[in-house]
Order: sequence, then C-alpha cells, then structure tokens
Amino acid sequence: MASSAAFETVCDRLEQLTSLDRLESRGTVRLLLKSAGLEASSVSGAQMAVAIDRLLGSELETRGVENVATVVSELSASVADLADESTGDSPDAIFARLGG
Amino acid sequence: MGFEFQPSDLMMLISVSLMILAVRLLRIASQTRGMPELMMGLYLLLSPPCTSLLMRVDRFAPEYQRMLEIVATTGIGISSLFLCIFAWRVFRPNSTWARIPVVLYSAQFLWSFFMVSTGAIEVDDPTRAITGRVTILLVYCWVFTECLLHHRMLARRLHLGLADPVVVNRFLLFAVWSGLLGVLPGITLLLAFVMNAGGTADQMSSPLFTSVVRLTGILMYVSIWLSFLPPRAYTDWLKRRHVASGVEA
Repeated sequence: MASSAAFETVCDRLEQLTSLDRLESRGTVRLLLKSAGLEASSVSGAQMAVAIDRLLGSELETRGVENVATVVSELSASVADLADESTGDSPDAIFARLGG
Repeated sequence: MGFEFQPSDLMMLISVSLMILAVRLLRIASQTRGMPELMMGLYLLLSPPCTSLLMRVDRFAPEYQRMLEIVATTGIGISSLFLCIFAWRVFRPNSTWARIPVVLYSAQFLWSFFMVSTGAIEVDDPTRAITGRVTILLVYCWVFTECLLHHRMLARRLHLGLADPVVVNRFLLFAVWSGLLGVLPGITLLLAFVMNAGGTADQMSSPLFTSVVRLTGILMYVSIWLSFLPPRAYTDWLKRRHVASGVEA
C-alpha cells in the first residue's frame, strides 16, 4: 500500500537532517507511527506533526541523534501544513457516523 | 400457525428495539449515502427477528416449522452477509484479499439456499448446519478482530489527543457484541459435534444453550445500544474519564 505524503516527507527530511540512512529513517518513522496508533498509508500532516512533537524526541535520543530539539522542530514544521490527502472514509470516521 | 404466547416471549421486545436502531441507521445511511451504515442497518433489521424466530420454531405447528426454519436461517444468512460486507467496506476497502471472504460467504450461502429450497437437503442437514455456523462464526471473528485491533490503535491516538474517546469506546463495544455473537454459533457448532446431530431446534432448546444465550444476550444488548445510541450520560462519562486521565483533549 502506498505511503502518505506526510510519511514520505518526514522520512526524507529525517535522512537529510541526521546521520540516519534511508532504512533507519523509515524504520524510525514507522516505529513512531506505531506508537502513535497511526498508519503510514493514511497519516495526515497534522497527525504526523503531533506524533513528532510528542514522541519522536525520545526515539531519536535512543538512536544517538544530535540536536534532537532542532530536528523535531524542523520535521514538525515540514509536515504540519501538508493537506490531508486521504480519500474515502477511515474506519474511525465511519464509526463516528454510526453513533448518529 | 399454532404459536402460543409465553411470558419468555417478551424477550422478543429486544428484537423490536434493535430494529428501531436499525431504522435509525438506515436513516443515517440515506443522509450520508454510506455503504457501511446501510449494511449495518440491514444487518440489525434482519438478524434479531430471524434469530428470535429460529429459537421459537419448535413452538409453531409442525406443518409450519420447516418453512419458518428456512425463513429464519435464510434471514440470518443474509444478515451475516451484510455484516461481512460491512467489515470489508469499513476495515479493508482497498484490499483484494478482503473480497475473498465476501465472495466465499456469498457462494456458501447461495449453495445452501439452493440446496434447501430445491429439497436436495433438509433445512436441518448436519453438513449445512455446520458449514453455515462456521461461516457465520468466521464473519463475527473477523469483525471482532478488526474492532479490537482498531480499538488498540485508536487508544494510542487518544493519548495524543488525536481521537474521540466516544469513537474509541465504540470500537470496543463493537468488539464486545460481535465477539459474543460469535460465541453463539460457536456453541451450537460445539453442540452439533458433541451431540452428533443437526437438529437445530433440539440444540437451541437445551438448558445449556438457553442459559448462555440469555447471559450473552444481555451483554450484547447493552453493548449494541451503547454502540449506536449511547445516552448522553454515558458519552459525558467517557469524555470526563478521558480528561481526568490527563491526556490532551
């Protein structure tokens, strides 16, 4: 399944801003999404920004990344304004409607 | 048709009240044009009355029992197909493999309906009874598993303030009632193996089955109502609990 623009953007920027290689960057972001209960295929920019602000710092520290605060801030800013590209209904949107 | 009313038949009011929920869901479906709401509405419209009927088939005059059993099992079969489509459209709409259970279930149902309606097999044929229950059990297991997985995922989002506590709870309630509904065909399946009989009416009038049905029925009923029409007090309580947990709203 194709990954969302927010996921791809964060992976690319993380690779540029840190010493992590492509595989490590993608793995780190996937772990971040799992912790946040989000999916690479559907995560929006706003959701990704929240996950980055709240959870990415500790993930990066455990990987020995330097200037964590700057990296987190830059990554968060890079996705916060991305448009929500999800098409169709998500399960949670459908379940919200089922309650009337 | 020889049906004599008994006090225990008041339990049929449960089916009626669930059909009210079904009508409400169908109204929502007409506004949103959403397939899931439509499928769930049709499921709730058919499944409760047909299950009630199936549990009381042996109370009708013998000449009507076969016909009513066919009507009830067909209704349950169709309603389970609606639930299967619901699971596919909600949880795996873009997945190729998720279409397979829908196709397989439809094929099994049509085969069963054709064989019974042409008189090739009896409505209480053991093979038909077992395959029917296994497929229904699998549908409920699918819904149960998906709801539980999504509940877990959304609970994590909730900690970040990215989910609505009422919706998160709705996934759990769905898991509860679909899991309990899966218990019923599971038990009748077990009884069918243990008793080595396909006599549906006999199995369903056994004390063990009746007790389990009543207990699970109460839990299911409450969880279904809380899923689709939660009282304000309940949703307020969920929100208060979420705020009290210190998580971002």
